[in-house]
Amino acid sequence: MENTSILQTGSFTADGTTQIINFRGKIDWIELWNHTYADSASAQDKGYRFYWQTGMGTDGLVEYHTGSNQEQSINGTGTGAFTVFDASTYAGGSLVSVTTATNPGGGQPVYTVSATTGINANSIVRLKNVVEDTGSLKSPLNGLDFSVDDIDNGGTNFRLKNALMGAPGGDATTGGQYKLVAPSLATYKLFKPRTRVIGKIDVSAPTAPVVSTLVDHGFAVGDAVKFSITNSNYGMTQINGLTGTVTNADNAGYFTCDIDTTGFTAFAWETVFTLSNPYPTVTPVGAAGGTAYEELGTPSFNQGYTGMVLAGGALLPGGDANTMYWKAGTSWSSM
Amino acid sequence: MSTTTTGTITTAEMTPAVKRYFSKGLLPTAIPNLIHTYGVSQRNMPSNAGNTMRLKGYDVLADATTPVASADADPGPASVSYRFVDAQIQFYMQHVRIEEQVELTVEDSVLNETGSLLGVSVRTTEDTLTRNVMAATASLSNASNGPTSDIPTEISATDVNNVSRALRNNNARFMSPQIMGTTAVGTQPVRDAFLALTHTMAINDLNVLGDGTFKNKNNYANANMGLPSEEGSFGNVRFFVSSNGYVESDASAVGGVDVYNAFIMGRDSTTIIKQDGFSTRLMYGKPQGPFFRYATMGWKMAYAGRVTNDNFITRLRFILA
Repeated sequence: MENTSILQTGSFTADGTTQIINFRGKIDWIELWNHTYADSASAQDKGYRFYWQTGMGTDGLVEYHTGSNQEQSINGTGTGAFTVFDASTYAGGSLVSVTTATNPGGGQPVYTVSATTGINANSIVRLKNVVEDTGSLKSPLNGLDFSVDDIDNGGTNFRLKNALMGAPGGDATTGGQYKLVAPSLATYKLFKPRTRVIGKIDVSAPTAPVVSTLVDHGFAVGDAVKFSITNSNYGMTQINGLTGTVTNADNAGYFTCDIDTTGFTAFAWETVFTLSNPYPTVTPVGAAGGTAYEELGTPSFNQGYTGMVLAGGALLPGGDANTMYWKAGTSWSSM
Repeated sequence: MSTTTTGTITTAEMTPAVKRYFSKGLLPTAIPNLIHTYGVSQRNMPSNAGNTMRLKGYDVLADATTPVASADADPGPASVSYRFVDAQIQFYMQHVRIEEQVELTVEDSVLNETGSLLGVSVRTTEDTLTRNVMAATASLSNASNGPTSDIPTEISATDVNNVSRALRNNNARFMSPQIMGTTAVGTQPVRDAFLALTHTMAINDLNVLGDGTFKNKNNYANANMGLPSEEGSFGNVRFFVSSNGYVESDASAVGGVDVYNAFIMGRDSTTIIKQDGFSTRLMYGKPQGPFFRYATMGWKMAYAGRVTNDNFITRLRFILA
């Protein structure tokens, strides 16, 4: 392989979670090095070199030390280690079984699933037919997209990232599935800003309500946002049709706006599914007129890209620690 | 080496030298209806003016219904409110690269055919981008009057009428004028209408909308007014369908089935922006390389899009019956 085919080089800090690399074009191969493990006599059973090329599917190769004398071995990484991502063609993941849901409090239910392949902190998932209570009550989150915390680093759990006003359902769950909608916010449905479903409105400061959204909002200070809450099951119908300005968007999961909610009914989230329709939403409708600085507000733009999702772990290309150095390129035939 | 045959000569003994004839009349390429740019406005971004267009819209002034008597002071100045809407120009491109021996040996004209495919590609890309722009921030409405207990339900006459009423209540303007009635047998006038852009999978459901009062375009008073991609009209909405319509998989709340979308829109709801000095273009690159072996063809375009007034467009979500 000639060096002239290298398209891009880079590095990232591994932490055991899934990593996503954004490429500046189509690639046919990628090689990653964990310099620390390569050079360490004590780094047994920890991958220091990873390789993938077109044709390998999602399974690449890993080299690692097997003993303190730096004996080497090479293995397949297993499927799901390398996933090429192209926003133009990405259709979401396959349906995966949900086995249980627990609600430890705080409005953040935790889902135990049969596999979390591709799930990363801030990934976006969608539930299907999950039953969350004794009996046969559906989860109020079914069919809705939401951001998750990868709370056990690639294990079999994920948690609703942005807390709801009330926790849905109970602990017992039978059946149901989830699907990965997007590995990250930047890969979610191409264009931003987007309409969001509201999960919580905290009015501790009534003139500066804090609004949590199921999917990270992606808004910026200066965005004009219009609320739609017409179903009284969600409370706060007084905010319906009002447009406010985002005054703080530092947290990815919630934002503050300038609507005075004094005297409004408290926002609520259904704890059991009651076919409440429509969902409470907030829609970005532009930048607030009169903003002092012309850069305020989020222009509509397409955030799609070509990249690769790398599963995290000691023997996986996303790594579990240290700086991972990578280079990626094209083959002659696809140049 | 020669081959000798005896007795009756059949094709078992006398085979054609070339068994296959390549028909240069190529099979048609399937192209979706490109409906998502039907109702959008277009603006042009000047060159050397940055990468983001800022659009501005004023809200109407309040009525001044209080009489001013001779002895009164002048009424106070009215408040003027407005909003900005920003959209960032981005660039898109696609190309094919063809080695000279392909052109020399392949029976059909690969370069011409790929040129046609690229022409389709640039338009389907624009259609998909515009569809996704509308999906991003169009106001959302779930059908709720179909027979299945789900969110959303199947599309119903009430759902369509509710969206139509809401748009009219928001002072959205119709996209198409009324088609006046004629004396032609079996035809009917068509109301002035908003456009609904939806998926071809919804055709069966549309045709039974309102217990058969859905008006297929062949019943329009002026049949020439129906476009090829048009299915028909109901109330103040004319429906256009495409296999490139917007679908959310496994997204209904109860059944977990696919959710289809219809963008029902009035005038000036959505704007796409093109870049001056960088119009969409299909290009042929002369053979390059050490031996001039590789020709390229491709397209480039600059594009931005945004729902500029969400009061004038609604994304109606529904499941199929």
